Amino acid sequence: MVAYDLFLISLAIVFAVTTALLSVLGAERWDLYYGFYLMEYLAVSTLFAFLNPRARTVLNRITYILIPGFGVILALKVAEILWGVRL
Amino acid sequence: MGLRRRTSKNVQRTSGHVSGVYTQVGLALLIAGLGLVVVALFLLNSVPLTSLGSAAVILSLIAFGLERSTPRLSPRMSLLLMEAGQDNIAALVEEMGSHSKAFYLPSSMTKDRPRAFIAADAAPDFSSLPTGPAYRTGGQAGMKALSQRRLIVHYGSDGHDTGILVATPGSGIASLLEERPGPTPGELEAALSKVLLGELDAARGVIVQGDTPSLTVRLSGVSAEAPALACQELLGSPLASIVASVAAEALDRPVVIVREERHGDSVTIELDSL
Repeated sequence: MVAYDLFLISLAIVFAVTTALLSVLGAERWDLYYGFYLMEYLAVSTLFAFLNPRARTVLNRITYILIPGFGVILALKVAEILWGVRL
Repeated sequence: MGLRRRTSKNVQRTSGHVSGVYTQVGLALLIAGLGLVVVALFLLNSVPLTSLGSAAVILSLIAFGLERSTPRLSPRMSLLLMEAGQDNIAALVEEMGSHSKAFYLPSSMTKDRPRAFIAADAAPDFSSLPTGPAYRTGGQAGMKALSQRRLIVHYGSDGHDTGILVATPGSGIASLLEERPGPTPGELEAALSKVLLGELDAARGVIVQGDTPSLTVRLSGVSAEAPALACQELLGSPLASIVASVAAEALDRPVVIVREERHGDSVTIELDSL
């Protein structure tokens, strides 16, 4: 499945480049990295909209897993701002 | 026996689907990712490396998911099934002695899946064919024959002309398209990309040029040599057959494959709609 391979390889390259760039820029925040990964995942998934319906269903389900993860990070940030608790 | 071609060599040459390849990739990414997270978090205290580990875990989730969406039927099994069906069509065409090109009909005309109509006459009178203009205006005997899903179709004013209505590799395409594609070259290109790139993994690029009635479809990065159809002179290659079926669905008109050329991994298909 060449399209699946291309999707995985594209995402791996994008994630690696993002990590390298943010690291060079001195980013030390988890939420920043995770937010970028999430946005890139959504963007690359949109570019591969021609994948078959079964694959798109799977990718949508993974989005449902990743978005709550961002919600957890956001909740931790809110807790840090409100109560000064850093996890 | 001229039209019948054995495709067993092609079947033998085609490698089977490597079962669980995405599961293996997913497992490797999961183990490497989790290992990197643990080491980077507790030993190195590095946020970028921990994030890289979590990215590998995300990729492993995707790989596991993609494994579940790969087709269960192996390419070899698919080829065997196709070979059996094509041998039957070849036998019919040979008995009929037809030398005219197939008309790819949309599902709206056959009241079923898209099919190909092959006229028995070497130079069929287009106006009397069940795919011709009279079909559209109604009152044509062929119209009834087409919609009755019969194999042998009698048409013409006296009903003495004969043809056959057969399923082709493109006949199953309608079920892969969520909705009927639009008639513009751009919409046809999007539909073909969805089918050939996303679903069948048969090419890496599709360009549609021209305008109805004549369209040119250029496929690039055609992945593998598809087995020759038993009656390729009439139906075209499997790829051309799929392209013609999608075009017939998009245009909602009969389509004929005028020319087909292959240069390396590129294929150019010229279509004419009636």
